[in-house]
Amino acid sequence: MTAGDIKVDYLARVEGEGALDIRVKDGEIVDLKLRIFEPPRFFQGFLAGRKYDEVPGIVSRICGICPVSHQITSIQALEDAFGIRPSLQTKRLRKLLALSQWIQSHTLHIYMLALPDFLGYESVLAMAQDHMDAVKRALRLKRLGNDLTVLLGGREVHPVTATINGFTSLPPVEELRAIQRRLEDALDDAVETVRLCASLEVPDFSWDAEHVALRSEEGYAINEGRLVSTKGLDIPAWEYRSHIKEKQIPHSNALHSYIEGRGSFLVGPLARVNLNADKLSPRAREAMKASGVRFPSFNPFHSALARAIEVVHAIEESIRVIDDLDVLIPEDNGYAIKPGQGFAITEAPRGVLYHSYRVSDQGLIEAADIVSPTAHNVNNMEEDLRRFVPRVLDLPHDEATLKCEMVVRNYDPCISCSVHFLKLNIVRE
Amino acid sequence: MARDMVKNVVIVCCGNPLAGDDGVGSRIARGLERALREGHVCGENVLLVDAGTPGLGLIDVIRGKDLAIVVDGVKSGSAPGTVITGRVEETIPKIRRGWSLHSLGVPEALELGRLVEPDDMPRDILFVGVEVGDAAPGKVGLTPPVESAVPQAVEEIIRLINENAV
Repeated sequence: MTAGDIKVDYLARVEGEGALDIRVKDGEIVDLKLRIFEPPRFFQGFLAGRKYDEVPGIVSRICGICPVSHQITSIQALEDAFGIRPSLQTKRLRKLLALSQWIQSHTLHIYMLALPDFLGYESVLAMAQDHMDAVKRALRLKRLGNDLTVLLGGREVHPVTATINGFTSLPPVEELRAIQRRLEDALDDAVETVRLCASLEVPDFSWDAEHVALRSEEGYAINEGRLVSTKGLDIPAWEYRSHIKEKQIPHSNALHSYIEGRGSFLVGPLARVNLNADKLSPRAREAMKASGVRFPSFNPFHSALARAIEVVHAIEESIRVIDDLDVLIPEDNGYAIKPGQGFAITEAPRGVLYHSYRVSDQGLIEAADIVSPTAHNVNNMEEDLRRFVPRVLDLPHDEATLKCEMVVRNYDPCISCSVHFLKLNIVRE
Repeated sequence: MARDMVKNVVIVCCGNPLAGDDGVGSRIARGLERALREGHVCGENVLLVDAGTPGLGLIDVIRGKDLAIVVDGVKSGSAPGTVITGRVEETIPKIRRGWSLHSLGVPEALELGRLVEPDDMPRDILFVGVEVGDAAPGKVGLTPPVESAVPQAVEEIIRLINENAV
């Protein structure tokens, strides 16, 4: 069969539709439900019974946008279970891998999703006609992040070199040096991105949400640290389940995360900048100050700016880490399997990612617990919408839908492997 | 055939092997690996990428190549396992921009690449799609009609390379 004689609805991953249902009475919201479909949950089930060393490969397939985050987090949780302490070299290489994902993911979010929204274009393709330089800058930064991932991860898209207690192969030092020069050249692009995000007019919309992120004395936390919040949370990874709970929500198959005794919370770049601004790299701190926006900011529409600040940080930090990787030494990656439970929290591009595994003495997975950044954020998205929707109720339907989509897009949710549209239903009683 | 006559070819197999039939791209990649090893393809500059769900990462994978063949599952209402082949612009319609990067798919990536970096994008981008049946997340393995379409898709891709990569 050839193309042209049939209609093809392209399978953009999994089907599904997100919907926002709002019931309004006398100008007041009486009910608001964000219905979404959240796939990562399905993966926990079929990890059970599998051998521990299959896990990093499987979880890296959960998400095509940040495969490294799931991979590294699962590796660190398994290392925790086995009592393995990876070398400094391994930690540095993992950090570089994670930073490369931040560069790619943040750049794409800013230029492909946020900018068209704020500048009033239907898509990045429409925006490119008028802002070609900006879109070219986006692809340059994205390419740099990609090349760094490939150099460390050994192949395109789904890296394979990171393993328990080390790396199966090491990047050639001269190639690290070469990409370091490109990172230095890219700093101006990153700073320009901050300037651009700072110039956007954002709604004045702040509320007292709790912001949660990793924090480490070692620097701007990415792969390790304690989980802290703007309202006093301060716990190690293994205490996560004593504080972060989930409840079933009938209208959505995503569980709603909340902090015991309080409520919803926000994870991601804005939370990180708010909680760790003092740990940002010098150029990133400078760019943050020059932006004119005061941090901490509790306006979720400053998420794109926070991402831009983190791109500067990620580039500058990568340059520094490569300096530290002066000589790469092949290491003994051997280890012994021990039964037990392990925990790890990392900062994926979209925020706090939690993995925990219970492993049998045979090395089989007895239980897996994976909570993605989006799963953490869904509850808070609904809270944002509850506060935001009254401002748009009088707008024409299309405009109201776009504004609500923007609220959700601030989070760049990882749900829309299944969700393409926000269907806005307003019932007025 | 002289080496310098051979175009740079990239085969990009998309799809999530953890989502039932959506994993057909990945499965085809495994079939192709063997075909490439056994020398069924003319040309040495053939790169095979099991790309998962690359989104705009597709641009980075195909940049600088002469010919790209994108392989993925499709839903068109045909019988599961039906293989379709064509130029990418004729085969894949655009989808609307969604909430996040996940919904920026193959067509958007290709259109953006051609708009912004026209000189670096392959002149020819071909598409090989396999009609999926059940593509629900959380399932590993293909349904029988899709599994049995894999050899045909592999053959089709090899034919496309051999016809075009000279």
